[in-house]
Amino acid sequence: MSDLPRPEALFANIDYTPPKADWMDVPTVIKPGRYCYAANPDSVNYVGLPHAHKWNPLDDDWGLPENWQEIIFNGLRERLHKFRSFKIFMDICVRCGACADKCHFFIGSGDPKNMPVLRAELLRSVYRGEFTTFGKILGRFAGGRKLTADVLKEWWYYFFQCSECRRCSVFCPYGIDTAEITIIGRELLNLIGLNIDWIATPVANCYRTGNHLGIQPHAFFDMIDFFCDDIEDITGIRPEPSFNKKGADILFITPSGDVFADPGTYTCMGYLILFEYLKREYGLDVTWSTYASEGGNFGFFTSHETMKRLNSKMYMEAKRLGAKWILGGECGHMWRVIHQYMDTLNGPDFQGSHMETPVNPITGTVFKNAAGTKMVHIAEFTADLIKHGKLNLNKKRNANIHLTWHDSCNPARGMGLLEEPRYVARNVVEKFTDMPEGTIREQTFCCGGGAGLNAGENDELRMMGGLPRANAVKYVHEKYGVNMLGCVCAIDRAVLPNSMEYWVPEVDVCGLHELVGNALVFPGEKERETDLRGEDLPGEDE
Amino acid sequence: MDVHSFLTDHQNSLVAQWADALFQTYPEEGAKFFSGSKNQFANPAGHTFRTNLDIIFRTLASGQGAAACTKELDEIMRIRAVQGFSPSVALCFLPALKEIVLREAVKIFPDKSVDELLRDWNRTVDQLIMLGFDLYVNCREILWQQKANQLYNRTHKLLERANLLKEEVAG
Repeated sequence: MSDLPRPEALFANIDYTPPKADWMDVPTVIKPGRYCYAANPDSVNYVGLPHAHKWNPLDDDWGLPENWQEIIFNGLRERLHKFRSFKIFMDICVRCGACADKCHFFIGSGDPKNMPVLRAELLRSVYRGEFTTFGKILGRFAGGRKLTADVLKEWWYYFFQCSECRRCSVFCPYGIDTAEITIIGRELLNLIGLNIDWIATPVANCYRTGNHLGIQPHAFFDMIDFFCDDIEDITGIRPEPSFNKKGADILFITPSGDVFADPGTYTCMGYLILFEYLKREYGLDVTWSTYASEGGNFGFFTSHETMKRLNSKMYMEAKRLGAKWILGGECGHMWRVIHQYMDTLNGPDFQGSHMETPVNPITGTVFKNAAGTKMVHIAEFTADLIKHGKLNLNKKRNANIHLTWHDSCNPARGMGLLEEPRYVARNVVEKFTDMPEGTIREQTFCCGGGAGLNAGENDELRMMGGLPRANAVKYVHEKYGVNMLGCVCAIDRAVLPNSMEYWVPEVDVCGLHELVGNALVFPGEKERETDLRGEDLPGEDE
Repeated sequence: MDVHSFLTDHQNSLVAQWADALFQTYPEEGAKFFSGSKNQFANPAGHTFRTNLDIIFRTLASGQGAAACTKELDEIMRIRAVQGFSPSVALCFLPALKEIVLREAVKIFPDKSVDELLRDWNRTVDQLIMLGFDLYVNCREILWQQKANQLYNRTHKLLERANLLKEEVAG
């Protein structure tokens, strides 16, 4: 026994410190919990993307086509020529480090390759090493390197650890949008069949049935009908929504997550209540589509071409039905596609020729900001109704809620939707407290699961990435008693409940129109006993 | 000087060394970031580590048991449990506290049997290690529970939609 070393000595001899090395010399170890499963080849094939094949990120052999390097080089060359922004982003970074500590994945993990500057450098180093004269001659001395299979795996691992939230771009003095580099990186990987399944299968579903979840038209109708049953039980009023109605003034499109996944479903019930109220009071003519049944666009996380194909169905459906304009639900990246990419993808006429600049038929407000897209965010629409005194709202029904607001990355940073949701929120809840500066508005932290990263298998990544957001929520919970986190994004509503359960279990998650649905009072409606979740209204059980 | 006075007098230095032991489990750039910015919103992990290690040390040094540090240790373990570490690396900063205190104690008490002097302290740190293990496993169980619930809910919803459920299933 006396020969056995003491525990202290044992621990003293174990060195847990990672070796110090230049980032190019640190081999990438693909860890379960941080990556998403490889794309199902059937899904890749369904939309005709190249080199669909079965592979496993943990295997040495990823089953790449023989000429994979040539494919990547040609793809990179084409994109350097096609996207001037991308070429500039490759050339002008001075590695000042302003972005380095702004990424939620780096803040949560401490992994240097999640610093935006270094994540971009993964691609930029190959650009230098293979495409620039200095890089070709001086190689590593000029920050260049060759594209090897290990480098390719590193790309895949880290480009699918970026949620394209663009927080880093807010801090870049040169205006480099690192998300754009991730987007191109993912496009290149898609050229050789290296997508993840949490993106590829929703894309195939959306292309086939109109929504990411693959809900067929009759099932979509059934789900909405199911919500109408619940609303009737709670309020005594049965909404009678219209579907695929030709000649309707407005086509409503929301993410399918609102139809299928809690707590988005309560937000969907809020939309139904609002539209029924507006129909009865003001004759609003809104229709839902069972074909364009998805606002989200996972094509955005695949390639520009796929994004364009999935986006087009909304406008083709609006044309088929003869709608004047489109009202969009609480979605995140749908709005970034519409606001920042769609006009360029489609040219000036595609979404405009058959529609009108949106006008709120109840208030007369002209949404000039949507003159090009013909699509209005429901937070803007509802804020306009409230501003004009068109809604009878009873905040007391949400008296048990102390709300804080998560600015969803894409509507906030991508389209400047900062005040409208807060305006609506303050009109439907009694207690509202913002999180601290630096964690909201333009500098908002991502939920941790954007850009197709909300799979079950990458839970560690989502939790690490969700830490900065959850930390700010925890602060307002402990200091002010906040118990609800509101947002206008279906991915947020899917990601944040698990994140909150892990980091701040006392805080729940909701969409904006769930709160509107609770607060809205119909003329002559029966006294409600529960909220839309079926929970007792405040004061009912006292 | 007794052990209590030693721990109290040297707590700043001991806590700094302890924090270093934790930071050194990260790659260099990550360690620099975590140990750098003091802004609790820009650097939540680093802020939690520094603040809570300090509280834990002071609590233990004051003679309170490890259980009094549960909240603070839980906040640290919640972060460590999702950072891709193996369990032993996630927890390695806890036994390191024994080694750090021992190293300093040998200097302060050159003529005494340090093992004897630190017996109670080491027992307290052992309790802290056990507590850390419980908290780490609890964090991992939350993640597994979330996965299990996701699968359960998906199946339940499909059965419900297909009208194959005769009555509401609890859970």
